[in-house]
Amino acid sequence: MKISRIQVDNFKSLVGFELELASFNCLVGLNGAGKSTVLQVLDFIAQQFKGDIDGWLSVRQWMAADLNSRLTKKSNIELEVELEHEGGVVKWKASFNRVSLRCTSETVKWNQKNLLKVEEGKFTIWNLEKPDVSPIKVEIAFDYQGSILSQLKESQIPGLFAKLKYFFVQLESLDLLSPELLRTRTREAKGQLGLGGQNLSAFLFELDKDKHTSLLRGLKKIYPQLDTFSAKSIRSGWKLLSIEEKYQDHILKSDARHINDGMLRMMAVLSQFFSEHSFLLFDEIENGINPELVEFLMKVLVKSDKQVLVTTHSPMILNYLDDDVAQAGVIYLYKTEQGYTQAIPLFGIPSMAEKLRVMGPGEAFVDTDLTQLANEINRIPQQ
Amino acid sequence: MYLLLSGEGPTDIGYCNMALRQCKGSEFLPGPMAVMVDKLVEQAQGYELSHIDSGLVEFVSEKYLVDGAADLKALRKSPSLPGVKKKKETLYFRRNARVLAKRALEKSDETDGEVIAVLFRDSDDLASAGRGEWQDKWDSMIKGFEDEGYAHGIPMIPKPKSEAWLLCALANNYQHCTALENESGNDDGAHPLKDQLTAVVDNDSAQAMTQSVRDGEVDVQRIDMPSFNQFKDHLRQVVSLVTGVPLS
Repeated sequence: MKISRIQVDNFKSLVGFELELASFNCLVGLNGAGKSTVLQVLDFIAQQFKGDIDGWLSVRQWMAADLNSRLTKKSNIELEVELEHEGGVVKWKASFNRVSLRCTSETVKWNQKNLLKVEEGKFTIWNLEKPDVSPIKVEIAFDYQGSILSQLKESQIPGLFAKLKYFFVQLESLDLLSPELLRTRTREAKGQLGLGGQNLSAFLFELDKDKHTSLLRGLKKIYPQLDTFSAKSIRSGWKLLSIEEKYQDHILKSDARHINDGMLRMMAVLSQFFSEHSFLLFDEIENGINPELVEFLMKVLVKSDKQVLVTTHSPMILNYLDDDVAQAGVIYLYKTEQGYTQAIPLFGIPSMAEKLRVMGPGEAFVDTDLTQLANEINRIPQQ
Repeated sequence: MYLLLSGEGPTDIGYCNMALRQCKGSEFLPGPMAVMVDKLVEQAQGYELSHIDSGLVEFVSEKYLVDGAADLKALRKSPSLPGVKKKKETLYFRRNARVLAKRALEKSDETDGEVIAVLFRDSDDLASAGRGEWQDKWDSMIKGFEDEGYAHGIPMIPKPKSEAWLLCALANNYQHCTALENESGNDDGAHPLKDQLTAVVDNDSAQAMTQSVRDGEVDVQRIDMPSFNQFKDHLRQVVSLVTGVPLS
């Protein structure tokens, strides 16, 4: 399953916002264009399938009133996601109410056929394998937050719902990764690194032996002096992360507090490719990572079987993308005069396509006066 | 002496017969800008000899330059980054100039003689869509020639596009032409230069414009506007350098 398109209306600066996604995606744009907002809305959509919107708001220290756009008077947040799955299209559409923190209306369609509908306090489920049988319509007699799919048990719902739900439950946004949080000792991760990476020690502790070995092999490629890393359980179940480095005959052992920021970030980022996650989001992927490692990192990100979305300001990151990956996945975000965030494939803009013929994607990006790029975008005829 | 020319298409430098990427002599069908170059060279060298009519000309297409520049993309680890010395919206010109310089040096070896290369681009070319400063683009072409150690390269960058130079002769009667440089180069905008040219001539085809320059209806000696003057002065210096004829 892979997200091919999202449409959002009334979430912060996302008003009438549409974004097409490839397997690997990289958001670029000026400060304040809305890159982090796009990461946030993807995480927000995923949270609909996990329920507990209160918890989501509290982790980010947001109020429900912070969610909607201050640029319009609309109240509900409209969300629409299309996913490719086994040659077909799953489409989830919902209207999120900021007071009840619930999707008060919701539909799921498979190749344009209704599968689920929530409206006026009732939900209806169709069985596509038995088109002659009338759909089941049930009154909703329980309280919940987010999508009703967060509440329905797998046994109650057809396999496709379970897959859809699992996809979003396994969407991990690491948009607030911070070195300080990566050093935190934690008790358990349950396969989630946490928004800021605070569960790193427990996440690594929970990796099975094969994954641990594979991750270590990857890290050794870029840190040849690294001998091993370990995450051990200490008293009261806290997990302690440490590394051992080999210099000639000396073995130097350092615990998380003394591991350099770049290595910690690399551990956090690479470890996610050994997780169950379906979709990984990283904000400013280049942070703390020295240019020598960029080539390796980009290979991992692009070749991954998971869907990936990163944001970057770094021409080095972009320059290591092959032209076809850059054409499909580099998305330029900018704001309209009204302050709405808009997305356009960067190398679909005529001047950028021309530059890509003689420059690397990163070179073309930094060679461009972004403050004036919108003038050209506005001249592109609407399809 | 040999001329090596490259441009954007039939309405400026010209093109090759049979849509070739590279051609010489009579296979090259010159456009109005090529004839301008030829006339200015003729005047600067001090004797009558048209390089175009004599077949002493080679043309390489835009695609030839772009394909050649693609090799420079492979250097992923050391991208060219803008900064104080490298302005934005200039790398495209620089790389094009570099590939042309390479060809000029090869040609010089092949013919065992001097080669003057002229690279034509509108200042609001496709790759910059009107962004960036004209002077920075000029400088970037010069740097591109220098990257290959080639000293006989000449940027030909009308501001905003070649129609402005033609209009100076055909509409303004060579008076107050600087103002034409401030017009929009956007063909879809209000009062585009292309339409202005159509309005003043019976036939604005590439062929007719080329003939106008040949006949002297567009007199290259009288066009007076900054982007043209800088090109003309640089061309005269290069010809003087190559031929040893002092600047008059």
